[in-house]
Amino acid sequence: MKDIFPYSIMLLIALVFAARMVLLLADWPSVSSRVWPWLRTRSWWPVAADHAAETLLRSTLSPEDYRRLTANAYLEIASPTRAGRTYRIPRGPGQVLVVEGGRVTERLCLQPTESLPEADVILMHKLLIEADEATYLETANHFPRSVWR
Amino acid sequence: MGMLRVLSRSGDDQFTWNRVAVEVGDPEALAAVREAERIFEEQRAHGATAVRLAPGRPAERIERFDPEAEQIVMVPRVVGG
Repeated sequence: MKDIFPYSIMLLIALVFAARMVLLLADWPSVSSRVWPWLRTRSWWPVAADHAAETLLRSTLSPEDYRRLTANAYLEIASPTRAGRTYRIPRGPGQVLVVEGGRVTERLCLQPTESLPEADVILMHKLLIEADEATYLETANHFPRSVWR
Repeated sequence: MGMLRVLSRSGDDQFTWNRVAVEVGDPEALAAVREAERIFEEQRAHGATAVRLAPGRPAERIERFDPEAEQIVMVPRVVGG
């Protein structure tokens, strides 16, 4: 018993260290935007709402758009009415950026009145922009672009 | 199949109906359509936006329930944040 005690302690420390590393890595945006959505699309994912929302988002977007979303952690939607304008919808919290001529011109904030899974919020922005951009812009709060972007 | 999806905290709630059976007047299919229409109107009354989706076509906002739609997504009411 005495012999294995130090090894058990070392194993425990190693496991805690490994878990901490995994959590740190999972918080890294470029990793989390790939890992968490992938996990949510697995059938065994324990949160049914997240699974349903991610599956719906994936089936609604083109494979190329979904790949870009996972790679960049944002979805770009071209304005249906204004040439050269795109809306950059973030995955997770944050404002929608309006990009014109490659530069951010303003930030938009719009949110659902009821809580939705992260993937549903992305889909919500996409559908509202594509289906009724004027009302979307009218409803959203507009903020000037950040000075550093 | 036609499908009504309501975005909600549970992901999305789905209601389906058989479009072919509706055309031939199948009572079960007609009841399913009526139920979907009732939910559509209920959601609209709460301020939801209805968007019709079809493959290869841009999303389209609709004001009235369309039983021939392949998929309708109800987006809950939104406000400026």
